[in-house]
Order: sequence, then C-alpha cells, then structure tokens
Amino acid sequence: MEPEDQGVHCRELERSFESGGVRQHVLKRLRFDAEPGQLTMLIGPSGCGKTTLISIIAGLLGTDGGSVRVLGQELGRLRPEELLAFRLRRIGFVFQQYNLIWGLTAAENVAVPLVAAGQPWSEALAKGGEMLRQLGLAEHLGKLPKQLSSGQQQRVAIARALVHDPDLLLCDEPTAALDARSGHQVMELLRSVAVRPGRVVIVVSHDQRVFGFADRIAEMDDGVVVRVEDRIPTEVAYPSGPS
Amino acid sequence: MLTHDKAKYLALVAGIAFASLLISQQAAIFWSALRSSTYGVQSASAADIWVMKPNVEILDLADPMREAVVNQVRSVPGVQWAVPYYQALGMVRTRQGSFRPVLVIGVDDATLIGAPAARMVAGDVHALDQPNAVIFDVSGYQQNFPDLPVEIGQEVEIGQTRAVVGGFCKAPPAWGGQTVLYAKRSLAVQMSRETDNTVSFVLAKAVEGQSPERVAGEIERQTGLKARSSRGFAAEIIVWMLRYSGVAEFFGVTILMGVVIGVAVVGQTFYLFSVENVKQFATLKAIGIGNRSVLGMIFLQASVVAVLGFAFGVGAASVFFAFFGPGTGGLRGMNMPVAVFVGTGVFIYGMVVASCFLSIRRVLTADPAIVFRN
Repeated sequence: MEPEDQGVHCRELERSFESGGVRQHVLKRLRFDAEPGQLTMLIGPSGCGKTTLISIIAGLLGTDGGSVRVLGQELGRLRPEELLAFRLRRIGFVFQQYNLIWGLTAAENVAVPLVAAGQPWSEALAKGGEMLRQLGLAEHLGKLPKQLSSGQQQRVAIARALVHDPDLLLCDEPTAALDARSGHQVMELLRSVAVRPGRVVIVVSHDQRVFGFADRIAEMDDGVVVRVEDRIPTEVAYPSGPS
Repeated sequence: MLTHDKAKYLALVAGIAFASLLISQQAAIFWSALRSSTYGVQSASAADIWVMKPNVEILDLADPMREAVVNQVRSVPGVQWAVPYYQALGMVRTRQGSFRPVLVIGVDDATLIGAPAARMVAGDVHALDQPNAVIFDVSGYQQNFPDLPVEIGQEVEIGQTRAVVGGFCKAPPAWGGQTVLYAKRSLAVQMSRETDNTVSFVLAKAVEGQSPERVAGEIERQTGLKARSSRGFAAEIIVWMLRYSGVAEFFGVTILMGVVIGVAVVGQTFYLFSVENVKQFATLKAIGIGNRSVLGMIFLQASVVAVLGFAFGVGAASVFFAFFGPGTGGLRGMNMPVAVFVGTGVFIYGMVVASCFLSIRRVLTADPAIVFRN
C-alpha cells in the first residue's frame, strides 16, 4: 500500500450550507493532509470550517465537491452501510462534551464500540476494563459518568475511542471543557497512548496551551487551510499552582 | 439511557401501571357483569334449548307462561325432554323485620334441572326434595342474614312462606343486585304468590345427533314461541346488555380514560426521552452503530418498562379481585379472566411500541454530525 493511503487527504474540498435563504460556502477548495504516526492539530477561529471538515473526514457529512481519501478509502464511493462499518472499525472519536452514555458504567461505555462490532459482551467488557486500567482509571470501572470528574470522563471517552485500535482518531476540542491541569493531562495521554505508527490523530483545538503537543499544525481561516507547520513536539510543562 | 433519569423512568412505569390497572380492572368488572347476566343459562347446563314468550329478551325480564306450554314443547319432533323453569322476585324478611328482594329460581320438581349442582359450597341440590327447602347463594345469605350462622337447617321467611336452608351455592347477584336462591318450582311459585302463569321458561334438550339451533327453529315454527339454543340465548342476552343497559358506555368511558392516560403519559415521556437523548443517539450513530441497533436498544428499554408497568398494574387489579371477589359485597364472584389479562397486556405493549414509533422519528433523523456541534 502506498504511504499516502494510510493518511487523510482532502483535495479541492467544497461544502456549503443554506441558511436563511443564503448559501454560505464553508469549505472552499480546501486542501488538507494528516499523516499516520503524527498528531495533527487543526486550529482556527470559530466559524472557519473546522467542524465541517472533521465531520466530512469522519464520513458524517457529504461534500459538494472535491475528494476525501481516508485510510486509503475514497469516502464518497462508500455506500451508507459501508461507511457505517468503516467508522465502526477504523475511526475513534473524542468529543468536547465526552458524549458518554449516561446509563452505562465507565467500562460499559468503553465496551460499546466492541459490542457494536459483534464482540461478546463479557469479552468487550473485559477489554474495556483493561483499556481503562491502562489510562489510570482502574478504580472507576463500575462508576457511572456522573460519578466521575470531567477529566476522568474525558479519559473514559479516550478509552472508548481507542479500545478497538482505530487507524484514525478524531478529537474535537478534547480540552475545551476541562480546566488547564486536566486539559494538559488529557493531551499528555493522547500524545503517549494514541499516537503510534500507522495511526492518524487529528485534534481540533482552540486551546493554544496544547499546541505544543502537535507534530503538525494546520491553521484554517474562512474555509481554507492558510498555514501548515510541521514541527517537533515540545515538552509542555504545566505551571505549578492551582488552575 | 432511560434508567439514568430515575424520575422519568418511574413516571413511565407508574403511568403504564396506572393505565394497566384501570383498563384491566374495569374490563374485568365489565366482563364479570356481562357473564353474570347469563348466569341462569350457565347453571342449567343440562338443557341446550331455552323456550320463552316472543317478547322476552333476557333472563331477568321473563314473561311467565301457562303450564300447558311445556307439553307443547315436548311434542315437537327433535325434543328429547322439556321441563318448566320459573323465576320471580320474592321478599325475604330479615330477623330485624325488614324486607329484602331476592330472585327466586324455581327448578323442575321432578328432575331439579336448572339447580346449581356444580356450584354447591355446602349441601347437595337434592336437599331441595325436602319440604320447603331452598338453596341460598352463600354471599347473599350472609348479606341478608348477617346475624345467622351459615348453616344448613336455618329457617327463614320468604313471601310469607317458611323456608329451610338446605344448602349453599356460589352465584353472582342478579342483574338488579338481588340475591339468588333456588327452590323447587312448586315452592317458588308459592313464595312469589303466583297462581296462573307458573312457567317463565321451558328448558329443553335436543335429541342426540340433532343441533339445538335446528330443534329450536322447529319449536318456534310449531308453537309460535321464541326458542334459542343455550349458546344463542346467552349471546343475545349479552348483546341486549351492551345495547340497552348502559353498561358498555359506563365501563367504556372508564376504560377509555385508562387508554388516554396511558397514551398521554407514555407517549409524552418517550418523546421527551428521545428529544433529551438525541445527542447520545447521534453519538452512537457517529461511532458506527446503525439505526437498527439504536432502535433495538430503544425497543428493549420500552419493553422492559412495559412489562414492569403491566406487572404492577395487573398485579394490583388481581389483588383487588382476590380481596373483593370472595367477599359478600357487590363485587362478589368477580375475577380477572385470562382474556382480560392477555388483552390488557397486548394493548399496553402495543401502546408502548406505538409511542416508541412516534418518538423515534427524532432518533432516526438525528444527524450524527451534531456530535461535533456544541
């Protein structure tokens, strides 16, 4: 397989929405690349099209034009059920508000993608528990989301996103709802656990304090990527004292 | 997801339970009341044809005939045997001196056909062969004579006639609420002080191999009387009750209330549940779980609350009948028929599934991309 096939590649991407009778072009012939083994951070002001782009890469939103090649698949050519299976097996999601299932325990939440993929419940639960132990949540397996702190909830969400070993991890503002200390810990976790050879990690973020974790920063403005910076991640030290 | 919101979950279970209770209890009382209106037909199980004046429509509104009609019926081809059956209102004098109405049923003196042989709780129907013997509905007896022991041999006064209790049976109250008692026809006529028209119905049996309906038709042709098979007469009584007694409207309104409450509570709660959890459903869809699996989860939750609510509601209704059914009050003899139990269950489950269908539109149309919108 060509190296390019492992990444995420958008070309001439266009997407518009109708709002109040006016058509708004959110993505304008956009070009974007994210490579495996790297943490790519997508930054930019509100309304610049970050969420639309990540939704398209996730296969949750169609395009008006251009191509989206994700992990060697041209998303536009996949049938809906193929797209569903593609997301289930190859993509992991981390959301700003965690989006955990309220009625399920931490371990059960993590087990959801495995159960959905057909694994037996007990096996999925065991793997979910193991994943949580790796992320330092061994004592919280049986707790409901409301019994966990925000940072712990986000770690459960990361565990859910990684439990099926996806090739693409999409994180939408994973630190936005967290205090600075928890946000930093979450990014450290993503950096240490999620980034590995063969996996593409894309993080959408406004939070300048976490930019140092990125291998690549793609800055968007008004529907296009205006700047791409390849860099060596810096060690970001958390300032002492309360956040 | 549903169990997470305890208040909504309990409201849903309570709503379904209340609807189940209202529907099953009222339907069971309705059913029991209709069944009791055909009690006399059920008791006279030896006969399969009932003969009466053409203007008679139900058991309780009999128009007595002369003795001669019995022989007329006996002479019709296809009739194996025919016996007279009498019923009339009588008055019981209580120990305190007050009067209470009773429905006196007079069975054939020779054969005792029409007596409640299968429903005796004390004594035997052949006790009626004793002079002035009567068989009382045990609950009615307790109601009329609270100070008398439930014992065979007690003496009571009915229509200025001294009667001796020869046994006790179980019988629902007559449609008018009167206690039922059985006596030989000769004694019953005496108790009601009737002189000329001493036959309310003629009970007949079709010859082996001939259908009661066909023989009843033949009786009508030859005598000018109205004749029905037992099954046909019972069905006509029920239709009459539904049409003229007002019972269908009375119970129908209450049952409808149960339905409306159930649909309103369940429908609204499920809708709110879907609206409030739309982002969670969208998350599942974004992860890659298809609509079918999401719907499966919702139906599983709906099924659990439906079964729980139904169990509580029907359980409460059953306890109600277990408590009042064996008593001496107006609900005596009433119970929860299997058909009402099953029917209520089917309705409740159908209602919950229908409510689910109405509310899941929000889930099916949920855009998974909303998971990235805050």
